[in-house]
Amino acid sequence: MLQLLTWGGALDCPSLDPACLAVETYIRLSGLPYQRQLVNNPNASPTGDLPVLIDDRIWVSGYDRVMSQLIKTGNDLDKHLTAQQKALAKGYMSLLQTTMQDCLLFSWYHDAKNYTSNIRPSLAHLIPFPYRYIVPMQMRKRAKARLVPYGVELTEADKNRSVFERAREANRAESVSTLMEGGWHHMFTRVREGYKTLQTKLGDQKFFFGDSPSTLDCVAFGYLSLHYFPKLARDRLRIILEAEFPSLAKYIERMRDLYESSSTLSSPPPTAETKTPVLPSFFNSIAADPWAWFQRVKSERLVNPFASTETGPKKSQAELDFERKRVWSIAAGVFSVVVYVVWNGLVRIEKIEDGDEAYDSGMYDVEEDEEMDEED
Amino acid sequence: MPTTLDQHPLFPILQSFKSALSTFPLKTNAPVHTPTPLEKPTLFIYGPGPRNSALSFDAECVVWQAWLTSCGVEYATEHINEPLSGPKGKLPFLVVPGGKTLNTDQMQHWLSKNYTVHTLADPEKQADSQAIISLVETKLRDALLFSIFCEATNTQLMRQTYFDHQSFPLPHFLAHQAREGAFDEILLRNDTVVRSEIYRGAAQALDALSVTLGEDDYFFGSAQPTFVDATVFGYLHVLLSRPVGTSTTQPTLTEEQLAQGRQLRELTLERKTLVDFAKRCVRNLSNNG
Repeated sequence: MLQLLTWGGALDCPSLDPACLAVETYIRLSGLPYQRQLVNNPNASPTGDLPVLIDDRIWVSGYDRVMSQLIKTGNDLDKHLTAQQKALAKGYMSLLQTTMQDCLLFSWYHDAKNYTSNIRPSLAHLIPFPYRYIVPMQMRKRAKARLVPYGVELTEADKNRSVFERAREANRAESVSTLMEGGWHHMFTRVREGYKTLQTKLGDQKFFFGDSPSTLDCVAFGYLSLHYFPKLARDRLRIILEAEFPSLAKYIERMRDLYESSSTLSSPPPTAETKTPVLPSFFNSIAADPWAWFQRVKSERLVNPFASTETGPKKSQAELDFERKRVWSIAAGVFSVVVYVVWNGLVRIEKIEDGDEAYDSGMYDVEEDEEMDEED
Repeated sequence: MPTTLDQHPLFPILQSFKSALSTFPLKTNAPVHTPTPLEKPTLFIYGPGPRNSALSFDAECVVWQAWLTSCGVEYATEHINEPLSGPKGKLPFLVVPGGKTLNTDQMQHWLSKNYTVHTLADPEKQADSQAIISLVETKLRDALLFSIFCEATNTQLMRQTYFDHQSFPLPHFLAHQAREGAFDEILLRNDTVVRSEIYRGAAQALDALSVTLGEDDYFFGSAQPTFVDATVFGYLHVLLSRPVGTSTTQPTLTEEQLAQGRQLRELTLERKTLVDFAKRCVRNLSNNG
């Protein structure tokens, strides 16, 4: 049984990652039974990229490798295509995976409102605990690098904006002027060109190459559904698709129906007991058995850092000297930080006497004085 | 109390100060170097390259040289090798009479406004051509970047062609930087950089190009070269014309490393249709240009 580790769905989309959705659509349309696990964590993948396909004992990760593995198992959706059609399909897939995906990243990450009110909350909701503070930042960083060649610069969403400004932004009504704001960006010209190219290719056909679906249809659905289905705060891509490219929009809806109806071919999703093993990582190993982790670290690092382990090769004198120097320099660094902190009064150690008692005794003193005065 | 400026007590002093200043500049010499006004559009490219040819050694520059020639533009070329002088920090760029500097996007617009640009009449074929351009700019570009900037055999040639106009230690630093930049660019489109996977992708792309071209002179049976032809030619020309390291030129490298440096060129040479297409384009360019 195939097992697929993917990103889960959010924002009214079956998956938040286009490559995962494309692969899943492919598996469903080729009628293969599979189990799905929504790991929502790129750390589960050997290359740091989902989807991961586990076929018996073979792990493959990343869109290209997963697809070639699927084709190897004898399920080629492109059997009915001519060599020329296969060649063109490769070109259209490149278009979807690069330019069209970059336009989506622009809409998600460049528009601060989309990012703060839709994308970031969805990601935070999906990603498991310690990773939700790391993975969205990595994703944004990657999007930033991908948008540089287009001359698009991502600025920090919350930087230099006060709480009041953010609240005002969130409450501002979606007027025509806010819709127009940034609506003429050259990335929207690019996305229109892309939609036009795809719509022209599609024409009046049911699928890109005739009446039966091919790999290109899976990829097109995977990538375009994220343009079309999410209801973002500023869903310009959706508006452009609906208003200017209606037959492409209808195609995406048709593909969604097909995607959902073919799910009967696959086995039901795994229950909590049949969990797929996830690759060991720093957080996983702590979470699984904290005591064993602590023991390991203690035996390896803390007890005797200079002693060579029994199983490992014996360390040379140079290595031991290096480790000794490293420990001393770390200790010296920590010591100097502590001295700096205490010296500059960042943390003060003072002995404070019990204030209440002192105050009270003072009061009594006064009273005693008064009494004495009265006696005088 | 003085009411107007000329009644002000300081007025004569100001007046003499003004007349003294008005004598400057005392003498105006003729400018030592005046840039000659452009008579025709000038394309700034990387060049002249190891073969000292009129075509650049950089794929994007060759694409635009071919495309401008196909559109019948009479232009001059300037070998500048300094990408940061361009409006987008990369070459090529075009300077037109009047002093306007155009990047590649603007060049396309300028061409369609001023010249007859050949396009494919059938909208579906036009869409297909966009897909082919996209394929070249991803799969073939990744392989070309990897081969030129990351293969040990080609590092020396890359440094000589791209950076040798700089003085001594700079070419080494810049070559290192360019290599890192190439890695980063490949990683934008791939999760890992693996030689065998990159070249497999390129081989598939070359097969796709070869099948799409078929027996025709130009892509999609066009009588005139279109932008897709210029793009494919640009990349093929660089793949084919770039000298590869041999055991005599690079005696320190192993036979395996030399074979890796040649791999992409050999993949291209295996596709006879594409080699013929590149030759045809070079002939046309030399006839027209």
